[in-house]
Amino acid sequence: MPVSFFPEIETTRLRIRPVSQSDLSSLLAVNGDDSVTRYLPYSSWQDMADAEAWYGRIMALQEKGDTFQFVMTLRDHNDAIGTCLLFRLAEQSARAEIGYALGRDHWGKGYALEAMSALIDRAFSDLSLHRLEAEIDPRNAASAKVLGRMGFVKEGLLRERWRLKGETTDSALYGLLRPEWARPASGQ
Amino acid sequence: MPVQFFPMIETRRLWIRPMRMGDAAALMTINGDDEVMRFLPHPTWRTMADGEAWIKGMFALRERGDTYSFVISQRSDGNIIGSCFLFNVAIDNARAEIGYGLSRRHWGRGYATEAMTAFISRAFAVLGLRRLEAEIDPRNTASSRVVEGLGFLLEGLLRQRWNLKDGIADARLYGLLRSDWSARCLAQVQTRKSIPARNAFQRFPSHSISLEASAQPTLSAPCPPVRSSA
Repeated sequence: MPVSFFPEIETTRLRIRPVSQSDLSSLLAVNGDDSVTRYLPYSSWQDMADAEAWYGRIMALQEKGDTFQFVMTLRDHNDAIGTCLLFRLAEQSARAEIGYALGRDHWGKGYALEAMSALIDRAFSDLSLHRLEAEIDPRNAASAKVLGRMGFVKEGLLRERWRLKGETTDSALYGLLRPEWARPASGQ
Repeated sequence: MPVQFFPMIETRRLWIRPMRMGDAAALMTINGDDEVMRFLPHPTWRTMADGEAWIKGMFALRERGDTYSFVISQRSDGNIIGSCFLFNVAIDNARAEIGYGLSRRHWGRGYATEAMTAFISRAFAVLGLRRLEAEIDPRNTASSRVVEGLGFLLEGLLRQRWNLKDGIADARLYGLLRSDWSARCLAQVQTRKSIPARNAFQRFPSHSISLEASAQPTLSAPCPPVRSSA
């Protein structure tokens, strides 16, 4: 029986809920922006067909039970301003990986930290995870800062691990253990 | 369409060929040994049914182009002494992971190094990979020595990443770039001019070397003559 993890979470300023097909047009605005996808492992979405294809892949992964995809919205709005997910769930080793993306209009306000802190809190408790991982482009300073604030430790630098958008890129690996988790003050 | 990677490889003492369902009985004596499986991410085989189910699983991954499984046998008597793998194949990123396991009776004779040297050469050549990875339990010092001898660099230590048969364990992540490998091949050719390979093998039985040490003779030839074809 696959694990189920589809919480709806409210934070001071945000709401996190499982993705649905009706989010795709707002998500096209987020993932269609080259500055958002610059350091992410996929190319910018060009159109709704890209959005639908992504949604199909995500649903297939959710079906397998090792991926849980969410969107974040402002608390009093319904439009997605970003995405966050838990994926590569390895139940026996009590581990999973996290990822997130935020629309450019919403950068610099602490939203990623606020959303991910809440999601991580729930993941550790609801899924009894022991370890979370994140893999980022080492040039992605904003993302590294968010991970650092949440207590993730940089554990590795993998050379030339990806070939994306015509570039060969390194990858920085981060890990966070449950006993180390101390939820940061939300926002800011 | 999944990539094709089904080489038959011959080294000085070994054969490497794609795994077949008929190998289950021979592999049972290897993968049924807790000592062999201790640091590997699969349960020890208890029954032939375990073994056949596992091989079937490998075949399913092969269909998807994710994993290619091989057996290693001795040329002298044809006996299967281990297995090796190319898995997590990510062709778009020109990268894959390697794995191997040898029967306990055949540890300590340089077989893993000999097999993986040829196997890696072939993977780089046939699949156009740019990077290979290996993930090793830090307590598995024999395996770390093998990949370090092959020129893999330790790129990360992931804490408490596994909780399998032997409790919570860290993971060492190693990476080897094709450019590292080619440079070693070149150094090897130069080294061979001055020191016969056999002599080098005896003088340096098992030490890990770094890229900077490539002027020294290495554990075994990184670029062996590989006679058979894919």
